[in-house]
Amino acid sequence: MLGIEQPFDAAVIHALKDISLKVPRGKIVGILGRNGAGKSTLLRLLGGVYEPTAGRIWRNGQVAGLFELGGVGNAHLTGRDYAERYLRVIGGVTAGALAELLDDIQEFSELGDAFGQKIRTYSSGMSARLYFATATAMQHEIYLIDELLSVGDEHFQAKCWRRMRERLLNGASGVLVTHAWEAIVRLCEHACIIYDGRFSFVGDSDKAVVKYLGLSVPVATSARFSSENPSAYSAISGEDVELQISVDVLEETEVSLAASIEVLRVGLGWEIVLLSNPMSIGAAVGRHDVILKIAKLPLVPGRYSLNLFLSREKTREGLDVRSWTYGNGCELEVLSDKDYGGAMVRLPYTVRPIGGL
Amino acid sequence: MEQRLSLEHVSKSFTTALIPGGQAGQSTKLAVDDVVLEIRCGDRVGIVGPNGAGKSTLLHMIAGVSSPTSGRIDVQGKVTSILTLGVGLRDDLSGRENIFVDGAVQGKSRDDIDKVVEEVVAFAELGEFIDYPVRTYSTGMKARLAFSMITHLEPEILIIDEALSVGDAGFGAKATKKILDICNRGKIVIIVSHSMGSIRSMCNRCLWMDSGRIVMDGDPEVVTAAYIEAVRGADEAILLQRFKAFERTRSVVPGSRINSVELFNGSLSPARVLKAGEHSFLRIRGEHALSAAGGECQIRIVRLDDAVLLSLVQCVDQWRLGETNFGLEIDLGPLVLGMATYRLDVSLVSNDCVCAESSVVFEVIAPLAPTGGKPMLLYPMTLESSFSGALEGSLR
Repeated sequence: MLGIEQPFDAAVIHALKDISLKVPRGKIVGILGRNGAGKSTLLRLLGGVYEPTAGRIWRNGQVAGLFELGGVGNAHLTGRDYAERYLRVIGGVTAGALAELLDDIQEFSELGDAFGQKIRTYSSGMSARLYFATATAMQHEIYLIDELLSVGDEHFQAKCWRRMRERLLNGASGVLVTHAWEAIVRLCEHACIIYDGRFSFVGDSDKAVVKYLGLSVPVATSARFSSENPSAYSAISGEDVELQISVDVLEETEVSLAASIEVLRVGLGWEIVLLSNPMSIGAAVGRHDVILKIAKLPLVPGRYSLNLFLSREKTREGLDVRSWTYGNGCELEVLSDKDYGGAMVRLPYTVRPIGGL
Repeated sequence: MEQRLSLEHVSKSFTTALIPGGQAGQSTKLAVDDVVLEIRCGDRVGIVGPNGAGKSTLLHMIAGVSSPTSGRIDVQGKVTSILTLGVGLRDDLSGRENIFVDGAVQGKSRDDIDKVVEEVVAFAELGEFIDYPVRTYSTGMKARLAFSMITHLEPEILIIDEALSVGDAGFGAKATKKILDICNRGKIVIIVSHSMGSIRSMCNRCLWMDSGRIVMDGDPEVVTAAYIEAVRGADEAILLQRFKAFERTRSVVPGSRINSVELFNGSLSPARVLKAGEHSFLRIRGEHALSAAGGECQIRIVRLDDAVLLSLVQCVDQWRLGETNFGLEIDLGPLVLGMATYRLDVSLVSNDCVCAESSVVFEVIAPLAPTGGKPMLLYPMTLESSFSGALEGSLR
């Protein structure tokens, strides 16, 4: 047999296989996955550290990578020198604008006098603070974030969240790669699960998290929401709203229903806008048709999650649930052509003149 | 002999040269300040505290990486530490080869290592990567390998610095179980972490360090809760201070000014603490020169976290009282704002230019808020329920 012997058996690892991802302006897409699933490879491809073996990447905007944080310098630089180098090399900052940004970095990082000392004298927390403060000192158009918000103490993490939120509200886009699902829920509307180099799920971030964690909804045995209930409702802002919900009581017991309407605030997470106490719906075995009423709906147009909870009236024991935390919440779309001036809710009010000075 | 660890008045100070290479300006920082600590067999100690509290310095001294400036550390037992995960790994060797090298370094015989190697490989869950060079690993994969290697060496006193935040959810759970295993065999574990969750689930004792000292020592639930509360409290105080800095009244353009902004809540005297559910209204009085064409009054209610709850614009001319004066009342009905601190911003604007502005900070309290959450609005939802009959047999 003829042939050319291969010099050695080179192994090829397909870190990523046929991935398609679109990140719209002003949105952060989350990537969930286990160690070694290909998360960091994806981020480095997006950041231009590697070239893809096949396929194309389009970037429309200036990219700031918050990964390999120490990439620009070495530990013998002082914090100030590192920041200056980063701003000049990556940010393209001119000498005139430098001083103000450096002051901001020193203040945000809370390094104080240590800012002028060599990075090798820093604790890991101090260097993490320096890197974060430096990378986010300027408004970039695209942020690529790798596990970033897991560094630092509670106080610093809260600050990081606030800053990321500001950057996002100014229209930045990004990709957040993490296995910390809390961050995905707080920052992203959409998320993908990466498994063995492929996306195994692409969709709403709450559903992605539920899938990633393998959470299952407990089986309802005493009372449950009917499977005939719609998974999405719509309503008009400012009008009286009636939401129809069917509940099947399976064994005689006083059943209560509580509801909440929550909204995703980018960078802050889900916030409860409206919440009710548990309200009695009856005890008899059979179908109960419930109408949830909200007079003059105080919500501004947008997408909300309607969460419903059934509990035993006496013991408060949970019986069934529809909630984003289980990935089975109902969607509530609120419509209106009115402008609420950027307010998060539609607060009722009337205006009238008064006398006097 | 039983493992034991005791620190007697341990302090550690660092000297940093302010001028590189120079002797002239030196400063001394006390990283650990007179710590007295006794850790016994079976203790799983979590250490929490802000950055720079001295947590890592303390661990380094216990691990023997550095020595105290003063005081005494008495360690009974063999200390194994994960201070920086993956540092001991040799990049050009495969994961499997690293297990053998590390075992040899730890003084294990080839036979001993052979006995555990498959177990370590299985625990690390690296698949085919176990036979690839470590330089091809992601950070998380290195962490998994390093953790698996160390916990299989039967450590007597295990010290872990922040290491567990690197693994993913699945591996983190396994690592936690492994650490509990080690402790159940009567060993000592000391963990420094910013994850209150892992400290609560893994430790039976928790130290809170701040400025080199131990502030609190006790049950993990109690200590972590107190620590988080302190951090939140301090952050909130700063936030509130900044928020209140906006509380001011100023006039930019002569002839325009806001004379008063008052809030009323269930009574006719102005209030700054409002009770949810009580009838509430705002009264704004000011002057806006007639010459300023198209004068507008902008009113916003902003929450402490910058969420805007109300934003409306009123044409001043509508509410004129005389030549220049105006006054308007905004009736909010029964107050539906949730429990929080808010700021009411009022500004007079002409041709997109702010002529005068005034802000007041107020607080809403809600004695009858629903349980199970802190909603943005305390707004009623009601139910109407009708029984529509028995379920069909198939539904049972």
